[in-house]
Amino acid sequence: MRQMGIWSKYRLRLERKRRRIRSLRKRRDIECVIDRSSQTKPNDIFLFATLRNEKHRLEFFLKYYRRLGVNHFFFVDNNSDDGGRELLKNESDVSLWTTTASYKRANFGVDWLNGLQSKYANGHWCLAVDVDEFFVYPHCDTRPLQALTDWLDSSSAKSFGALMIDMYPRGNISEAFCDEGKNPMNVSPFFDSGNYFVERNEKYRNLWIQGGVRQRVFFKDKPERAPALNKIPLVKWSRGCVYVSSTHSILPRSLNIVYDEWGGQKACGCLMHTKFISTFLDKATEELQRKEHYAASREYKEYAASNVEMWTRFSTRYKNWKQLEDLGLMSRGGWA
Amino acid sequence: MKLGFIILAHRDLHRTVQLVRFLANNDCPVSLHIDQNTSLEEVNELMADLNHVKNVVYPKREKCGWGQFSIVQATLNAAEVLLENHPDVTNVFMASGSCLPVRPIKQLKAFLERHKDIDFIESFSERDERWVKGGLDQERFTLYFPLSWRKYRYAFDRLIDLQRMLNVNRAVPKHISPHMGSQWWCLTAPTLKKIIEDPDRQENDRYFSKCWIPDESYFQSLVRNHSEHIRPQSLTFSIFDAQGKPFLLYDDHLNDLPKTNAFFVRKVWPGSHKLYHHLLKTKRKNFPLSNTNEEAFNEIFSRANAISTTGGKGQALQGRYPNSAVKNTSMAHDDFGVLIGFGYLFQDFVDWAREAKGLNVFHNIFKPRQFTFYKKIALAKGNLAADAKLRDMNPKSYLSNFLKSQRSDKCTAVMYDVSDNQKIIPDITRDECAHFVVVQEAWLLSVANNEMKLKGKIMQAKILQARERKILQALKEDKHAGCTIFSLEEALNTPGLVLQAALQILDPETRAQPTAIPQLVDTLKLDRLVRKLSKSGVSVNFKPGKKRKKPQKPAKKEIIKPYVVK
Repeated sequence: MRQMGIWSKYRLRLERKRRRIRSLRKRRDIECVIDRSSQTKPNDIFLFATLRNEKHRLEFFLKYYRRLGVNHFFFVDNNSDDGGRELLKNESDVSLWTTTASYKRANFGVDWLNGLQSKYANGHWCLAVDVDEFFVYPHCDTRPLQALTDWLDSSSAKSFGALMIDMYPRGNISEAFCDEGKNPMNVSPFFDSGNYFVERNEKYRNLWIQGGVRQRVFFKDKPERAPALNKIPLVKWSRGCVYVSSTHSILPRSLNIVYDEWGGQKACGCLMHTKFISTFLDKATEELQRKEHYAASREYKEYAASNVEMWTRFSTRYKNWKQLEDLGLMSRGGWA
Repeated sequence: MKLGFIILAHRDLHRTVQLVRFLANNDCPVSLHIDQNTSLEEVNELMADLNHVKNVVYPKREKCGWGQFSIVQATLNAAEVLLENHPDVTNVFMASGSCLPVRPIKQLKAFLERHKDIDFIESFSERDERWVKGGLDQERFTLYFPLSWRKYRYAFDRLIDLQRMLNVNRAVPKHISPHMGSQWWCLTAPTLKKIIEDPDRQENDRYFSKCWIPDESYFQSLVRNHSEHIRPQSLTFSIFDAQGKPFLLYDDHLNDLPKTNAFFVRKVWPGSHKLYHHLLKTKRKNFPLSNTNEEAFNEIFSRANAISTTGGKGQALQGRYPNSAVKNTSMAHDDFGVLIGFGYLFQDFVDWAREAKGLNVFHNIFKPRQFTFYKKIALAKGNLAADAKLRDMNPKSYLSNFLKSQRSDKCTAVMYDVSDNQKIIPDITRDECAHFVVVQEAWLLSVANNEMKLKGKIMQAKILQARERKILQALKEDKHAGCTIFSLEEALNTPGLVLQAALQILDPETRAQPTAIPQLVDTLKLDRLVRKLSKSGVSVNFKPGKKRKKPQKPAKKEIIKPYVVK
């Protein structure tokens, strides 16, 4: 099982090359609005994200990640018309690209980011997240990201895993209104703490985790189709790396082994996913028309069809990383 | 007394500058060695920063390689220059550029004043287990190590294998008795001088230059020849993680630092602004050594080591996914029971166990199609739904989640019958936390009592029998799981014993208290079924009674029976 033949290794190599070439080709689809990457320093931590009409989230997003210690942001704007592009353009630590091409045909934005990362991110630690995802890692209340990346460097680790946790409000989503600049995790503070299912993908060797509220509520009749929650959001990028599908898996394959195989636990974090706030409803309607999302926008369909209550008496209110560690959703591993 | 410092630095020199300036201002001469590998730019910057600081001397720079003699050479250079330029120094403290003082220098000086003539250096003999934990111990002193471990890890290991094969055994000079210990020491100036001016210095250097990690053995061995008063204790706190690299200290450790009984700590993450700010203040209060709690401080780090090597038992998530080849990795955090056949044998076993005994027993959570955990409860803590599709997608993860949700001080048990989903069997029979109590052929009762026609019953019996054989076979082969097996005959005659076996696992304390036992199911049709089965070629172990129908034993009688403890 562990030993892969030369042939399959070579096939993965070809796949990696193919995806890389594809991402370089797709780089032509995106147009630079402003490139401030020349201001960056060799040890800077970068963040890469794509977005579409999410201006209301940006202020808090930038604040959150600046506080963690991200030094430069790279955004690909997918044809927003809500003024988000203008907002980002004026931020001094943001480089911005824009495109009108299809999100779906760019492998859900992965090609664009791969293209940008292979050009700018070589040798840097990079976070790849969406604007509704908030990265939580061990000691994140007292230690900046730089502390984590330094420690990973000294441990000879090149990637860091996280579990994506879907958060939701109590009661109707339309009432979970988040003011611009405010923390969406306060508006939809609940999550499922004990329904995650883990398997391993033997081809790429990444773990494959499903579960959480989306599986419980929206994929009740087809749990195996529920979205993957395993993420590798933090990677020390080197030329030749490519994300395969979203940030769930990456090539070369060794970067996918963010877990301990010998009975211990490696340090890992969580990505708090705050999709379910009031704006989700508008987005659902819009996305249903655009059909640009994964698995034929299934969640959006389900949600539009039935206005379900996601909260139960077993839902957990989010407090901090220590709580997530106690629940066994993340771990400090050997990082004391 | 006068305290001098040797400092070895190779990176983050801006922090080293802060430390050196602090020490120099506290009237301590510093001999600062900077690795030859450090970029010229950084060194120039440091020189500019320390330009006006008196009390600092710079020894000849060496190219330092981890685990190689160059580090000892650098230390020797630094010591020579220090003693030459500051002959009034009485004690020499060896530190690195990423160390910080946890206690004020004044306190350290007073401490050394009180312990005049004592050399603080960890120095354990090669056989002492306090220092070496596995890996190379004696061989550090008897093999050759021409390669850098960091750069050529593979070649390094093969070279050692080769030398082992060839029985290489380098002679240790007669006057040297190999000792090891932390690289960070505090020696008296006379002792250090004797080591430097040792008449055998050349031979010493030549010998140790071929040893592995000589920085942990050069001074530690030679001090044995030159000092009368050795205290094998390092005044610098330094602790290694499971990978063998030193733990870093961060701002959030600040409040715990006074717990250590050391004067310096290593290694401090250069971004720890708060630590640098607080620990390098000019006026600081003493932290009395009497108030230390070394164990509590070490606990922080030993816990992290435990997490990274064996932590997260019963969990599989982004940071943990034990390989199937790894032994002793259970899917559960704690012991759990699997009761096979109880549902067939007793009428309301789960109700009885939960209500009369207060035990943590659940229904068959592997029942095909619809199921609940208990009565109408279909959602467990953590929002785990009792849903067959979800469960069958990944039975192992499902059970693991379920057991986690029922975590309490009581042992959890689930009922399982041979008609349930079989996919989970290989996982639980292999699990060292699972404890089985099996009533063999209890399924006969369910077949006997169902409404099917004989042909159907025979078919069903065949299927269930085959499944049961598989389970028992698995239990026999995978010896991890604890397992007690009863035959149906034993179970019907002495159901008390079966219950005792279950209670033994679930709650050993209530085991001895007899109460009413749950009602057995109707056994009237059992004998007839077994006879018919054997006629049609299905042989079972259960022996039917005489053809004359035996009156069923009233279950209540069991109460009077003495409870026999195995």
